[in-house]
Parts: sequence; C-alpha cells; structure tokens
Amino acid sequence: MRGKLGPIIRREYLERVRNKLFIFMTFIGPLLLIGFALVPAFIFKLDAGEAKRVVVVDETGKLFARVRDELEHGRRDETRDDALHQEPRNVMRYRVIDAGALPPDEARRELNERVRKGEVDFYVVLPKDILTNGRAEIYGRNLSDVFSVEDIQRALNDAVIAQRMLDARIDPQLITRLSDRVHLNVTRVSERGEETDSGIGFFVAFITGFLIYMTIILHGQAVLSAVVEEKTTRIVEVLLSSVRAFDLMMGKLIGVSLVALTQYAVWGLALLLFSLYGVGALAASGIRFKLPSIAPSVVIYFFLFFIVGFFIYATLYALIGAMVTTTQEGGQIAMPVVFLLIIGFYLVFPIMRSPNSTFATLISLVPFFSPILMPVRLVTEAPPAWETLLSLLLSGACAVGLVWVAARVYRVGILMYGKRATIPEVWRWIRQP
Amino acid sequence: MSDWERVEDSLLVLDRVTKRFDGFTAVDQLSLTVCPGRIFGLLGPNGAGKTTTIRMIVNIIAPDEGQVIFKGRRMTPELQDRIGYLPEERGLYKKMRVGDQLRFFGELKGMTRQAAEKAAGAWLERLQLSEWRNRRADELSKGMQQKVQFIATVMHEPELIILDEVFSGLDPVNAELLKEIILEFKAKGRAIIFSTHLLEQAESLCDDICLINRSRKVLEGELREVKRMFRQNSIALRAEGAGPALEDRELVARVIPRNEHLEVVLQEGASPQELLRRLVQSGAIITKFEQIEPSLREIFIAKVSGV
Repeated sequence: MRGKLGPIIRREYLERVRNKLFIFMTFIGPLLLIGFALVPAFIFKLDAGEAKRVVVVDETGKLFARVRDELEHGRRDETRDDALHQEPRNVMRYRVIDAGALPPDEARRELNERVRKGEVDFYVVLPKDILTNGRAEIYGRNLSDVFSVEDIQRALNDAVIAQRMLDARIDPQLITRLSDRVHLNVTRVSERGEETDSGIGFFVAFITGFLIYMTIILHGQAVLSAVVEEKTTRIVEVLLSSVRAFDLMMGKLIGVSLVALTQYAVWGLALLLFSLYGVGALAASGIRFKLPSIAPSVVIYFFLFFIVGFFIYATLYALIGAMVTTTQEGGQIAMPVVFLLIIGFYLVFPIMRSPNSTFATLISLVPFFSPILMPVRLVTEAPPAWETLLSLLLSGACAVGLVWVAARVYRVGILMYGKRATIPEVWRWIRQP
Repeated sequence: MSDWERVEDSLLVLDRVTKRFDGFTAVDQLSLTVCPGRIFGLLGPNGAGKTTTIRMIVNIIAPDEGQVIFKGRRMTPELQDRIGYLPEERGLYKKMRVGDQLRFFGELKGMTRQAAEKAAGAWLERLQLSEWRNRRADELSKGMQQKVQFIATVMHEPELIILDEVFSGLDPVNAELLKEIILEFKAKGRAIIFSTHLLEQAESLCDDICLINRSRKVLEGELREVKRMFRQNSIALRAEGAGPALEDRELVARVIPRNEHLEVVLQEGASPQELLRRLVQSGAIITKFEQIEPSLREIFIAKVSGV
C-alpha cells in the first residue's frame, strides 16, 4: 500500500519541475532578484536633463568662484570611503553663471524674467552679510527638484565655511587634515576564530530569512491550488478509490517540498560555482569580492528548518484547499496564514540586530516563526546548540500535529463540492474518530 | 432472502448498508448482490443515493451501519485495487500529458510502471487515441477525455468495474465502442455495476437491476424476471382489417393508438391467443403482434407511486 505514495510524489514532483514557470524562476529568478535590487539605484541616478543653469548674485564679491567650483566640479566626499561613493558627487552637473554687479533690485527683476522664460533654472542671492548670519535665498521654477536645491545648499555651505576660515586665517587644508575620520575595521569573532566582515553578514542574514519566507509562501500556495484542482476536477474521487486521503495529502506535501529543495540545490550549486570560479575571475578583472563563509552545519540546519517550516505552512494550505471550492476563495481564507509568515519575516530585522537577546530566544522558539528566525540567528550569531535543537523539535512537533489535523479535515473536505466548509464543520471533522 | 441465495457465487455483497449525512439519510438499509459475468444496473433518479452507495463500495466513505463484502472479505486497500471506478463527475489533470496520466492512474492501482505504460498504449490504440498520447489533457475534446478516463478505469483489468453515467456526453459511435468493450468484460467474467438515471439505457445492457428511490431499495432482481412480473395483458398490434375483433368488449378492454402500432389492452382473463385466433379468423393482415413488456420507467413509476 505504501507503494502508492511513490507515484503520487513522483507525479507531483515531475509535473512541477517540468513546468516552464518553475524552470524560469529557478534559473532566472536569482538574476531577477539582483535586478530588482540594482535597478532602482540606477534609475535614481539617471540624469534626466541637461546641466542646470544656476545664476549667482554674489553681493559679497568673494564667494562666486568657490561656489562655482563646488557645484561644477564637485568634490570628493571624504567622509565616506566605500566604493559606491568614490565618484564626483554632483552627477547632475551644473553651469554656474555670475550675475555681475547689477544693483540687487534690478538683478532680481531681470533674473525672474529669465527664470520664467526658462533660460535659467535657479538663481541664488548671497547677501553681503552671509558670512556672519549665514542666510541666502534661492529662486527657481521647479523647487521640487530637491536634489539640485540640496546640492546648491551644500555648495554654498562649503564655500561660506571655507571663506570664513580664510577670513579667520585658518588654512582650510589643515582643517581637512585634522577632521579626517576614523576608519572602523570590522572583524567577526565566532567559534572559528576571527574573520573580517565586510558588512555582507547583514545580507546573508536577510537573504536567509527572505529565501525561507519566499519559498514557503510560493510552494505553499502551489499546494493549495493543487488540492483545489483535484477537488474541482473531481479527480479526487478516482484518487480516493485507490489511495487513502492521508497518503494523497502526504504525497503532495513531500512532492512539492522536493521541488523546493531542487530549487535550493540549483541555487546552491550556482553559488558554489561562483565562489569557485566567479570570485577568482572577478578578482582578476580588479573587482574584489569576498563571499561570507558559512559552516556546513548551518547549511544542514537551514534545510531542516526549511522542511519543518514548509510542512507547517503547506499543511495549513492543504487544509484550506480542502475547505474551499475555488483558488480565489482559498486565497482569502489563507490570509491569516500569510499574515503569520509576514510577521515571521519582519521579525528578522530585530533578530538581526540582537540575535541572542531574550526576545530573540523566545520568539525563535515559536513553531510558526522558528523556521524563518532560527536560520537567521544561525548565520548572525550562533545560538547555543540546545536552543537550535529545541526549536527544531518544537516546530517539528507542531508540523506533525498539523499534519494530523489537516489529514482529518482533508479526508472529509476534499469530497465536499459546491460549498465552502464552515469553521464549526471543520472543527467537527477534526474531532471525528 | 434472494440476496443470500446467490452469496456463494457473488463478487460483491452489500449487507444492510446505511449512510447518514448531518441527519439526512443518503442510503438506508440497502442490500444487494453483484455477480461475476453480469451487468448490474444501479438505477434511480438523481439524488436517490446511487453515488453514495458507490462511494461506499469503492471505500471512499465508510458506511455508518452494515457492511460491504468484496470477494468474501471486508474491503481493504489491497482489495480496492481490484475495482475500477469511473465517477459521474469526471476530470483529468489539465496540464498533464495523456500517457503520463494513464501511467499514474495505473500505478495507483498497483500496476508497475512498465505494465501501466504498456496497458495505456494498448488501450489508447483500441480507442483510437494513440496520436494523443503526448498531448496535454486540456487539448482533448470532452469525448476524448471521457475515453481516456474510461481507460484509466479499466486498464488494470479490475474484477469489478463501476461505471457511473458512462455514456453521458458521448456521441453514438463512441458510446457503441464503449458498450462493446463493456460486453467484452462481461464475457470475460468481470462484474460490472452500471449506474444511471436513464432507465432506457439500462434496459438494453443490464442483467440484474436494483432500483433505488429516496435512499431506499424499491425493486431488485434479474431484469427479465422483473419485466415478467410487471407484464400487463397488452398487445402491440399492427394489422389491416382488425376492426371487428377489437370491438369485442368481452375480449378487449380498450385500444390505445401508439406511434407505430395499436396498444390493445385485453380484458382480465382473456388470453392473447384468443385475440390472435379472432384476428386471423376475421381475415386481418397482421404485420406485428407482440406481447408488450413494460418499460423500466413504467415499472419504476408504478412502484414509486405505490400501485
């Protein structure tokens, strides 16, 4: 009889793995994910227009040259030293024009006219007393261009401060040298000794939580629609005349979990190949990239927690599938389940900050959350082994209990057509012998 | 009880089986016996309890009372494999290829991969679906899908074949093809339960029948026997110059004109031979003279309305 589980698992697995969407998501998905992360950054940096024309009405007569240099050529921001910021700051580029020595009122009238005509984007007025009371004015048509306004403000700021220092006979270069910032080298101390941490640990923790969350939600929903399909097409009638409802449900859960594991295997392999060959190739072309090292035991725990988490949630999805008549209806009923998952995912953030706090310890023992949170704790700051095992045990027990409950609902619900089961009905099915 | 007389050579026995849902009794104290090499008609209007009865036979649901005995034993998962069930509401996995589906269903019935593969090939050939083997189910017409499901029902050579409304939605050519196959299985000694609400369909196919209405058995027995029991004293007659004989009120109670013949209802006690003799004497030219057997529908209506 157990022989029947094989064909059910095989069918569920093969039909899914052969699915074009699965193949796409498995092989292209990670690239898409990287794309999603990088594209906004690129779009943000897009320079949509020509150089902004800024006219400076300098009543002090001392600041124009400095303001122009600051805005047109920018300046390396020496307070930041990470790679992304080692570039000219003012990617937008500006053209700075001196308004000349016109009387202020006349200059204003003329410049307003030029702004209206679109010949000038902004003009700033630097009053005589700017060096003492630090007030200037900016005029322009499009002041929602906050980036330009900010750049101009910064340029004025730097120019005024430099001028003040000069006036006080302080060498600005000396100031720069003296205000050089401290560089903090990050080294992680763990059971395996010291290792430099380039901040990538954060991403590893985040991606770990995100992966488990995403795969559970995607494959869990797949279970729901698979159950509903068999129900609406009445295939279940033929199936149940051949196998027990429990075997049918388990076969489905195991089959889909293998699909998810296949997906992980493909991604893991890609990562392995990248770490073996890709990193070297990048290094050869001048890009230094350091992969975080992850202990094999963490990988094993990751899989264990995923499997347990998958069974907890997929079982709930199977139960819901047996209750409802359409996938849409199932989606609505499944909202609380999704909610639990989302809470679990959001808890990743506080856990990342203090992975061994009392809060983290307690919350990662809760069966519905531990499959997401425990792996995050494992990659950030390894918890004591007994905690890991206890949470694995608790969530494992929860999964077994849920399978038992779901099997009872499934057995009856899957034969109910045309009408959604009510909660009291479901409760009765669970208590039925 | 007639049920027990044939228990010896029976394949399936239902013994006072009852099933209730939420206080509603779907099947009430139903007993029946199905024998190998015969087609058993499980008949009754929609909602009579046919499908619930079948679900209990195939072990999808358990009876609240009574028992289902198959091959002399209570139903077990192993015995389940010896049954083939085509439900009334049918479906296939839409995105799955026909060949893969059949192999899957065969494996579920305990066939090996190879055996299921082979049987699927042979049956697809037989039902003229070979070129559809690698197509997805949703590319097939309704009728073709139905044939695929029929294959899934019988490919593991079950001893008991249960067909619920097997002909619904099939064109006459394919219906005839399936009928032929059903009769082959009968000849091979398989038992077939043929469930339908279309009594005319059952009449041409069944050996035994069980009529149920509102969850209770109304009538059971060999079809020929049932018909004989309900035979009325009427004659289907087509003849020229039959007038005088039919006007004899001693002999003929009334004459009802039918489409292709006259239905002659004889007086109680009058024999058909007497009528035939009178017709011949009066020189009528007879093209049809046949004792009318009541249709199952008439029997059913008579039984249900309490006549």
